[in-house]
Amino acid sequence: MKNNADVRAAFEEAQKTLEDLATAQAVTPPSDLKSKIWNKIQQEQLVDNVQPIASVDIPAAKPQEEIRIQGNSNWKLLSAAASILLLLSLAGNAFWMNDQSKTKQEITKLQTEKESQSLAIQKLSQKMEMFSNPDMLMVSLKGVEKHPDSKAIVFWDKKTKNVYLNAEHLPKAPEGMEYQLWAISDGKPVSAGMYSEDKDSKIVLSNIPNAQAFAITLEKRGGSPVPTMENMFVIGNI
Amino acid sequence: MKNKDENGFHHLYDNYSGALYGVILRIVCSKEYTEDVIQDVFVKIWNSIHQYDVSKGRFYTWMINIARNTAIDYLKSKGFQNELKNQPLPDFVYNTAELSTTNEESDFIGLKNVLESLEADKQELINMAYYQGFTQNEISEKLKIPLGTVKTKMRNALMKLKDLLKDYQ
Repeated sequence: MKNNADVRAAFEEAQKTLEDLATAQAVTPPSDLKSKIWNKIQQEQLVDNVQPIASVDIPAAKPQEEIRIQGNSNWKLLSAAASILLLLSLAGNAFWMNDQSKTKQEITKLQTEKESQSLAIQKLSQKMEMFSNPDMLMVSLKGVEKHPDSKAIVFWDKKTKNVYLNAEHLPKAPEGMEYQLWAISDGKPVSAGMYSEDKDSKIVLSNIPNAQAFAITLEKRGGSPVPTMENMFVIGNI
Repeated sequence: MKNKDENGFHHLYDNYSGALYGVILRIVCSKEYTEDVIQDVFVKIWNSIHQYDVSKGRFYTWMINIARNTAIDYLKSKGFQNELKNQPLPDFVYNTAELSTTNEESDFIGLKNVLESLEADKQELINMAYYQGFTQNEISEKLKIPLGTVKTKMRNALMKLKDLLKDYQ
């Protein structure tokens, strides 16, 4: 108990000392301060009397608000960081996807090139085969007066009697028209098949057992039973 | 005074305003801020006078604590920190020394500083505890001295201060 009283006395004394310090270091306030403060106190009391509920609410609401603001700012920070990461990732994706699509395009382009080249090689080798076939008879057809620049070659297999046509040097057939090959046998024209570009030097047009000459006319799609003489492009004797 | 009449206020103000004004001025270091703070302090004292508990300490000390805590809160408050930031830059760049001396000259002129008569380490302890509101634990951490030492030194400083104050009375 005595110890407790000692502590209490020391506490009192410390308080007293610091009070004395405050008194010793007092500063006279401005003369108008007193009335200012009294006005303020009376105003506050007025407000308190008018709105007692509001004044009770304010201190209760404050800590909540502070917590919310803090949470908010954390959330804002996190969401800002998340958006930056997302943007970076999107940019990365866009970059890689762009890169990949470029590579894909190049591969497709190379594939197309390769296909067209192998087609050309196929075509060439087929022609080579025809040229090198000893049974193959080549008949060159020359342009008539109206079409001096046109020419074509008929390949006629003497063994099988199959007829092929190379007509790459004929003008492109207009829409709805086709070139028709004729074999002239004993003075009479016999249809030797309709020509189209995909058949060139590759697909048998017809089987002609006997002929002395070949000619090509431009006919309506599907062909004609008799040649339209004024539409003759090329002709050649065997 | 507890009846909250105007006479009670006169008594309160006439007896304590000078001391509280001195405490606040030493914390916020500007007469302009001191006037803001002391208005709040008196309003607080007036409104919470019914909360004052005799068993927990002396009335004068209770008021000094309110003044000190309000002044410290004011310095920490957002508005005050912003005001510091919003000071025009040139003043800080060119006139730092000049600015602070004029401040001291105008606001601290003729200010009695009893603590100046104490040794430096005792001054520091009282300043930290009294004007900056640090607890003894915080002081021990800040000054990197053991808590026991802080307590002993503080007691010595207070005793020395008590002697000094006798001359002022």
